[in-house]
Amino acid sequence: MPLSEEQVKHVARLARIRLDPEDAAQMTVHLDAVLEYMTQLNELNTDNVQPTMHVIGLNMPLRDDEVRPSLSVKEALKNAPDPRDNMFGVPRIMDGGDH
Amino acid sequence: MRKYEVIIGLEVHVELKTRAKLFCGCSTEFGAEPNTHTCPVCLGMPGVLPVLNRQAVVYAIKAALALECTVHSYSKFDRKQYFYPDLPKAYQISQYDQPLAEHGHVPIFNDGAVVKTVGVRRIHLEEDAGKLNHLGQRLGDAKGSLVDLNRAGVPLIEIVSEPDMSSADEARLYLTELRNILSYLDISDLRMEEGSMRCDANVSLRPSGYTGSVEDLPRVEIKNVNSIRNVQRGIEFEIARQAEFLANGERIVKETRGFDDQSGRTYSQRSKEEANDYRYFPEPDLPPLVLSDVFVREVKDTLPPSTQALRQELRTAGVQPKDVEVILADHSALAFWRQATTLFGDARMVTNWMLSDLSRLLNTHGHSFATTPVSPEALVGLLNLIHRGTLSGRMAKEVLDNMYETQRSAEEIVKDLGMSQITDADAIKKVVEETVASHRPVVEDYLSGKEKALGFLVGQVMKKTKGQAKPDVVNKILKDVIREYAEKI
Repeated sequence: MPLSEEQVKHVARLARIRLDPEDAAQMTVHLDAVLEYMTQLNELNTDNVQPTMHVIGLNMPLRDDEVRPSLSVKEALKNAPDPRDNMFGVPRIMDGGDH
Repeated sequence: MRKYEVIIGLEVHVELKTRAKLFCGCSTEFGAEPNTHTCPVCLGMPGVLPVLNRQAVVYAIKAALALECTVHSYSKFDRKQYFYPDLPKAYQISQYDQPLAEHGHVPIFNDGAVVKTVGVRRIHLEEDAGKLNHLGQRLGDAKGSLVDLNRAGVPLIEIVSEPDMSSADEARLYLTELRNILSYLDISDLRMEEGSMRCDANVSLRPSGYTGSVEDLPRVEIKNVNSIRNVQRGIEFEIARQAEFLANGERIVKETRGFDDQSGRTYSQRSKEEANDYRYFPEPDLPPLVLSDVFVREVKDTLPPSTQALRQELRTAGVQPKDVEVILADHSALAFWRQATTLFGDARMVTNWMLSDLSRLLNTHGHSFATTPVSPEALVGLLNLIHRGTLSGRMAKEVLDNMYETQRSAEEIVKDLGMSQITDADAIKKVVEETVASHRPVVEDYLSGKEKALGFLVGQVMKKTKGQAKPDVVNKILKDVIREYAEKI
């Protein structure tokens, strides 16, 4: 089995998905089966094929640098669970951010 | 002998000063009321599509060309995924394996001489994140945060250097020259204190005898330092900290560290090993960015003279290398210098007055060459009076102070205060004769070989003429009068 339970837990952590131990074991089997299925693609010879970055076949359309009206603050915050001082209130951040 | 070699690479984020954001039409204005510049695109609402801002691409190409990069005709955008409250989509649209430009160079200068050339690995376009306001003193004990998404989606370029710098000082010189180059392109405000230019520094030490690759050395990243000076301080501290680890035979941990301005120390934010898994993949909402040669050439044609060309211009005019760097680092100083030197031929004199007395006044009053109350024309008015011999250097300083306060012309002030240098030899000779007559012992001293005595006599004459006599003229006349006196006795 090429996929380890550790890897599954790692991916779950990155996606902020909580996995119980039995879920993790089961998920490892399922995910591995999916990946196994996809390995069929490896049978194709792609030596002379350019990697596909995009399927639309368009070049990037560009927009002029013009300011358009924004939403009102009220509208912008409409779906926010905890709006405060015209900002989005969020819970305490445990881990330092990085980008 | 040093037991290690310092390896520094810098990542610089620069906010581009487009009117609208990178992928939507919201304004990029800095300092607006929270969340007044947001829309479904930059809020990360479902079902929206980003459309790339042409001007941001143009600005990025300008930067790439000015930094001598190769601009790729084909680049693409990718999603960099992580969870953080300032990132509404939970991914940042950036460029990963096919950036806009690569393989550039920045020559770095110390007092006008090239120290080395630092490689630019890549330049890519990406969107900025929002701003977090923490409730509480520090992130660690904050009860929560408030998110302002005005900045989310503002265009950035990230400029990644090669790990070519080997001291904190070289890092400072690189940032200085990078800022010089970018500032003449007029593509960003470049205000580090406002965050429109941000720097992360990667610092590692290579122990002597280490034969592995630089990439495998434990690297410490100092994040988001808000001035060039602090980047330098942070790196200095980090080099010393890591050197101590090496000296004690301890392992340096790969991690991200913050910089504390007060103490000048870096502090651990978190270990990097776990978190750096961004699962980049091609942004499906944006087709590849294909740039024609014509497009790139058109941008190239709009580039201003390079900083190298500007250096040449200043040096050819006779400006000292050290002064060249000072003028070059400040747009408005260069504009001032150019205007003044068109009106007054002696570029060195213009430079001296600009960088000594006028700069001193500007600093004292919190002004700059952009806001100076003394215009280039006004300064040249003063220099003309010196040149004509109406004012001595010392008198001119006084007049400049007055010009600065009253914003009147040098000529008006000189007329009003009845200041003017006495150049009339007869008038001076009269004062000199009086002085010689009333200070005979000093004159004797001079005649018996005490050269210093002459200085005293010159001083007396200057005092009597209230400093309005021209010192070199006084000197000459004084010597003549003393010679006559000596012949008489």
